[in-house]
Amino acid sequence: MNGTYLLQQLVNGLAIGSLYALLAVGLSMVYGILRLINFAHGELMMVAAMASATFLAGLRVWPPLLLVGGMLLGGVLGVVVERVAYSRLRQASEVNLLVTSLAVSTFLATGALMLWSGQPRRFERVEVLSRLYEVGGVFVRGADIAILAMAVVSMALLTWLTSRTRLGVAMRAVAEDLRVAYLMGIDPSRPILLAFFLGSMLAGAAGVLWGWKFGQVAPTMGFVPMLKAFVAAVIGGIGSIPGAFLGGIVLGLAEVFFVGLLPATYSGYRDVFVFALLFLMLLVRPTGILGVSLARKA
Amino acid sequence: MTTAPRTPVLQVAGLHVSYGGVRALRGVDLEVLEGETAVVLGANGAGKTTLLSAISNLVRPEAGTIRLWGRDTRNMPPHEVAALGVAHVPEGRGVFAGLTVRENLMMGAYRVPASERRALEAQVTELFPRLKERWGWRAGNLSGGEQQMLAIARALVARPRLLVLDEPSMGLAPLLARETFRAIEQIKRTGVTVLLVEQNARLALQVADRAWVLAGGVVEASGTAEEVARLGSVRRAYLGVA
Amino acid sequence: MTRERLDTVLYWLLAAGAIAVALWAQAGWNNYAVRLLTYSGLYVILVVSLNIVNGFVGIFSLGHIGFMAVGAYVSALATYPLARRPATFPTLPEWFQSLALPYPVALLLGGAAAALVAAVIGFPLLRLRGHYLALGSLALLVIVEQLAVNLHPVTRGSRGLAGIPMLTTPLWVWAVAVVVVYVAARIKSSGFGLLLGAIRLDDVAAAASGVRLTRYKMSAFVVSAFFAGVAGGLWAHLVGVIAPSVFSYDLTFRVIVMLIIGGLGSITGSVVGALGLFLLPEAFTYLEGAGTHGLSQLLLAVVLVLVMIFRPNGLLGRRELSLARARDGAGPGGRLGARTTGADRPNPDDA
Repeated sequence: MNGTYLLQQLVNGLAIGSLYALLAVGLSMVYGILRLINFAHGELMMVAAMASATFLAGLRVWPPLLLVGGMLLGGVLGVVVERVAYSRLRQASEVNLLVTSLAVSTFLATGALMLWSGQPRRFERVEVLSRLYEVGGVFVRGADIAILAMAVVSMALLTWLTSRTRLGVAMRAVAEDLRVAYLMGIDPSRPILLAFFLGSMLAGAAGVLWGWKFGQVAPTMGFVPMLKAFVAAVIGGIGSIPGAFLGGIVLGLAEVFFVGLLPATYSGYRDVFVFALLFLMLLVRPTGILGVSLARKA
Repeated sequence: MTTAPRTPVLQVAGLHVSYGGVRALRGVDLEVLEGETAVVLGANGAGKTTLLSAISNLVRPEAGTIRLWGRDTRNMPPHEVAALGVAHVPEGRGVFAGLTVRENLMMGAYRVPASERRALEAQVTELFPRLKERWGWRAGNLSGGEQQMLAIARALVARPRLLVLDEPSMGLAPLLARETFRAIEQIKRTGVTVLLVEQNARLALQVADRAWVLAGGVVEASGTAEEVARLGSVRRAYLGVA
Repeated sequence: MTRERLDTVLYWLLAAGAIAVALWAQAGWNNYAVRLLTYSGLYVILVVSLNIVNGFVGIFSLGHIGFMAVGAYVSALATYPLARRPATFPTLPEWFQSLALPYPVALLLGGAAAALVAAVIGFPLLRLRGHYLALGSLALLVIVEQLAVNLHPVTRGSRGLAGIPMLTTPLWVWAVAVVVVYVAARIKSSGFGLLLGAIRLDDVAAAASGVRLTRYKMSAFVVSAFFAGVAGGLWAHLVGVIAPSVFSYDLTFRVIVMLIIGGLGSITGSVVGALGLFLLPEAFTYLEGAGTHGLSQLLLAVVLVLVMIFRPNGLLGRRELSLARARDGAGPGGRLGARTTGADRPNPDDA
């Protein structure tokens, strides 16, 4: 086990961690503002990935454009879901919101299965993305660089948006204290829509990036990543956006190091490890690394 | 000399509000005229906060009407009530702790056209220079007095026609409480209508034009501030006179 | 006869009726009908046992099928034909190769194993609340699945375990179903049930009043898991084959739909929901032909959302089928429980 190997694992971990981070941030944004875990979040990622694979990737579209396309698809689908299902349940109990969220997730997943069949589909990538680049003995795939870049750029943009624009700050205000936000004359439905749109866009981005990284996508791909995004959010701190991002990175690194440092026979237990981490975190530090109090005023 | 009759800004009639099965307000009648400062006195649990919540439509009344500038606000969502020109500073200040001073003020000015925002912000920070010093601070890290200033500043930046204050002196040391009421006096002089709810009757009656006493969910007494201050019951209950 | 006595009589009548039907089915019905009867009983067990946690305590767990899987595998191993063991499980130790257990013992063992897993996983899991707990419990599903796939020497991996003796009959299933309903009803109308209801309504207040939250939540969780494990054992010995893919999110969703539409907190609702939402899609498939599984699941999802919007408490809410209708108890089944379900009362704090 030498330095190069460790460095390789580090790079791999950062790449997959950035994917988880994007998903986790999106999930946390919606949860923060609606106290709702959008179970369909993983499905949004999946639909963006499948649709891109089916319709766009083969057209050799310029990659950034493809990414934007996937993001828009994710964002729009997320907004549709919010308008059709969640918006009618603003006053509903926690259980009912949860159940609806599950139903939407099932609907999308089953629909995708019926539309595309369960077989994994190849995700066409431009050569730049699939190629392995070498830097000092460490190999990085083009897609990984794209993922890292996207993670950094989106967090920067998101931070700017939520502290410098009226609607972005309103998003945080509504998430923190809905009653007081009302008193400012803020109509929460627009910040909520924005949160949904942005969060779902991130899921869409994650879908396309996933396709670039792994070269294939399937209608069942959304389920486990969503759970991992959740674990990331718990690790980083429930209620904190930077926490979700950090949690994603930490989770990616932990996962890769688990598989990389233990004998190969254990690699099948990768997901068990991830969820064991979840339960460990809950026992030891339930508020997460950057934990914010669970109590919310509203 | 006769003065033109002042228009009512707020008219509450026969208000009944329940809170989790308990009748908090049982038929409250109240009126606030333009330009005046009205105070609602009452002990804990008298229903003062419920009254203000009902006015802002955060709670739905079971019966009764609330009119703001003559308009029946019953079916308005709370943000629309605020948009009519009501700035409500809730109990405990209600600053957005995770947002900075700057961002809090930005939210206060949510409904204000962009062209006027800068000027209003400047005006308001002149009134509370301490906030300028704390511009980038998280509101949650401010002291109690600073949060109070921020809450009021945030309300003023909305250019309200009616300023509603829920227990502004609560949790503040006496010195800070007096400072707060001095600020309220200054605001009063700009012509803004003020409705405030208070337990500290002495401070409140000094600044108010009219007073209402709320006890057990109904208005027990009302009149000008001087009249109410002279009432035996008020003196005993709120002014610490035997 | 008092009105409550009437209810007890009603229950025993229905229970006897179920057993009678099961016996009759075993005697003379055709295979398809027998299968329908058996599966519907299994769903009743699953849904009613889930209600104990999700409905009574208000803890929305999605890991129920994970417990079912544990029970299935454990009981299958316990009854696996001795003659075939060396070939199927070559690496397992001597004591296993010669130990075959009777069916009822195997079922109990499966239930116990599931209960044990619940006890262990409950510690970290029950610290979560609301949506976070639901997601955490879903993780259980994935964990169990991955373990089943990877512990090849014990579970035969993703191909699954075949050759399980088909010992399940309608009588077995419905006998257990009767027991589950009885246990659930006893819990609901007891002091224990009252405490669970208090936790559901306001766990902060309950804790402040001295209710030992962890202990009670855990008890309900473990009891519920026990029955899921038994159901798993029954399932394994009905189909004769189990594989990790059986204990999937799809099955979870199905059970959840039955629970919600029947009415969270209502045992009668669970029975009705389980029967109705099993038999209706079956009829649909029967009429439309095969290959409609996806479509029926799509429809279920849509129906569920519509129910959430228009009838948030499900068919029965928290009420039970009862002859003593004016049962104004303070338990989860009585008025206190009925008051704050679903979305029927917007919180006055919300605009």
